[in-house]
Amino acid sequence: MTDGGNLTRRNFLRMGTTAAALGMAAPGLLAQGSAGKLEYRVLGRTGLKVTTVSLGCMVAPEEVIAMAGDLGINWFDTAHGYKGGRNESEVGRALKARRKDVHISTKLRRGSTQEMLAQLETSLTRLQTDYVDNLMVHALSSRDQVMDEATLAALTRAKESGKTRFIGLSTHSNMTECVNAAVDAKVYDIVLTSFNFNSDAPLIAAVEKAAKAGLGIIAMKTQLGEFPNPEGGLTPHQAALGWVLEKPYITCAVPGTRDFTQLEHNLEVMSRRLTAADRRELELYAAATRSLYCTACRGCEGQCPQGVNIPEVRRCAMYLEGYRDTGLARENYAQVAANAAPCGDCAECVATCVRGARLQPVLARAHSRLA
Amino acid sequence: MAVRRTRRKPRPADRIGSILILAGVAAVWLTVLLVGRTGDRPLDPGRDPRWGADLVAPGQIGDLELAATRVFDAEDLYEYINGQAPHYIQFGFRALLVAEYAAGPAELPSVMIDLYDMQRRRNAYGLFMESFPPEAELIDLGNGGFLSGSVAVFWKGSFYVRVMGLGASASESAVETAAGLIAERIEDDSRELAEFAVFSREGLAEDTLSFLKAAPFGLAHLREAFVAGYDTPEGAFRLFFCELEGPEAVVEAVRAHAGFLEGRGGLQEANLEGENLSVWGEDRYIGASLLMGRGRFLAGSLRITDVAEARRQVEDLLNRAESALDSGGKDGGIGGE
Repeated sequence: MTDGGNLTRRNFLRMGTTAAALGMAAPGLLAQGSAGKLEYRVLGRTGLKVTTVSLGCMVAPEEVIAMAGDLGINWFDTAHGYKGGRNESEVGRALKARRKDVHISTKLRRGSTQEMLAQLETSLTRLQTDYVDNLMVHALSSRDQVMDEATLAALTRAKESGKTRFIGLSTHSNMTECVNAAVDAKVYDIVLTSFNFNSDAPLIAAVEKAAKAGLGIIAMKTQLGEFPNPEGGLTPHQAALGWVLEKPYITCAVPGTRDFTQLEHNLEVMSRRLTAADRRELELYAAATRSLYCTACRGCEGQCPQGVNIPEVRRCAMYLEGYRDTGLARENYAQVAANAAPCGDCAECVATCVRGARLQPVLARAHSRLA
Repeated sequence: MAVRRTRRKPRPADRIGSILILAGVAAVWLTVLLVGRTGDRPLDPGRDPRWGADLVAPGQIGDLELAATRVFDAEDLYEYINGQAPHYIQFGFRALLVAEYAAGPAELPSVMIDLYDMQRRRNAYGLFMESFPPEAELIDLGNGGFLSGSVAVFWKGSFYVRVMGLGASASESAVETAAGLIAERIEDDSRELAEFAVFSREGLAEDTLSFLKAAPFGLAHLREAFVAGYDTPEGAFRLFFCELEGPEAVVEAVRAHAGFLEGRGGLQEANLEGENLSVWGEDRYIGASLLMGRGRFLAGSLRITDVAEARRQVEDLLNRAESALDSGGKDGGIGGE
């Protein structure tokens, strides 16, 4: 189970594949189409009552979206860019008959105000509706982006025209900064953020603060992948979801749901609570996966004796490689280099990630491409 | 009494043996050095053992020279594309070659190529179709491609390829040129997936052919599904077939489908023994469905209106799939199966 004394993700997954398969083969609770007890929470100052387990539609087939609606889920998250645009059409078809009973939330790519409003028109057509309940700007990763005037103008105009009831933003990188900025902006109603059992203290604090400020908080990427739970109880997928929904400042979660079985298991979480065994497995998995992803916790800040601004350089690398936004990457790197030393040619990098992720290759790549 | 050890004079065979042992140790050491994790130091991709394909990034594209290469596998793909990595891996990702091109040694790269080896043509196709915006125009690039700003995307063989212009100086023409050059270097026997030829063309609805890697129609027990939509005077329905690992996987899937229908109160009939398996029933969300299995193939129909006709169609599809794919239809492309 361990590799050199450390529990690795690969060993952890290998450990309980059979257990997971057995768990997932158990019949769901929805044999007759009954969802069991639904839980609702109020989405911040919007006043909307939404099911705590809602639906991330990105990977959901139309059939699953339709079933989710029939079972009482009332918040559906999609985006202009999902499946090249086909996902909004799927959501539109699946929910057309019950449009008044559900809330549809979609997201637009950042751009000029006109570009974003044009995207919105396309989205409304695909969704077969003349309004959405929530319109968000997609995948923000900095305070500047949250405060961008063109973005705010597009969202505000959409709201004023009645084409959206509420506005928000989504973020899955540098979340703490973005959530805090959303509070400061004083115009956003809703924040959709990555939030899971691996989230660090600054993000948790930011989310709590945003909830207290009246923003509706929706959690995504709640599972961080799949893993076995040899001790039974909730499946690990359910446990991870349950961990998030234990937090009173989270209104709902929108887990990506690929099939009927997963939908049933997600809904079951609304009437189950985490056991001690569930928590132990989550802790083990958190330890095994902590080093995989940079969470922009800024634990690497100040570590470079040459003065390289490591968290900012990592962010530039993320723009270049993760988002493929070369203009943004170069623009930001130019600012970083202007204000601090760029990554140099040290024989050995002494900086370390507090979560165990590898720093030096990413920094070297950013420097070689952006300097 | 002390044991007297006799030291004998080494024979030539012993010396040769020692040399061979030392050479073996050195070879192992060199292999470990080369095969071990190289992080992302620039490497000739032909020497990185994680890159299984013969395709090597060209040394020159127009006026641009190859500046750097990187190879990523499933272990470290997340470092490159972060949250998208699991999706690519689920789609059959094997390795990624990243190649950067610049106008000169001291210049910043202006074109970057991501060459994803997806192991099979169907995987590359499926990944491409997921990324293909319906409003985009399919262009003659590889087996199918599109342009989006300064990015060209296409699939060919078992490769899914993205070519990106970097920086303000990147030109769309440079991106298109680079993409065309890479596409030419990938061998492929066909522009189409052989599997789609299995479907009857009678009543086939336009633009309905698709490949769904996992959980088609929301059914967790199905995977690797080739799907076609049909529109006939009798109604619209879907046909699909799946090529699985072997008969056991097929039996498991058919039984799971019976369980799915039974759990929802819609199972009508199930034949779960023998060589020809079948199950049919009704469900509110997938409609009336018929699933048949034989050998390593599943075939089925959804939203059927006439069970007898559906049986004929699915049986026909199963026969066609076996005939076409059991005869060793090539998966095509470098790196393909």
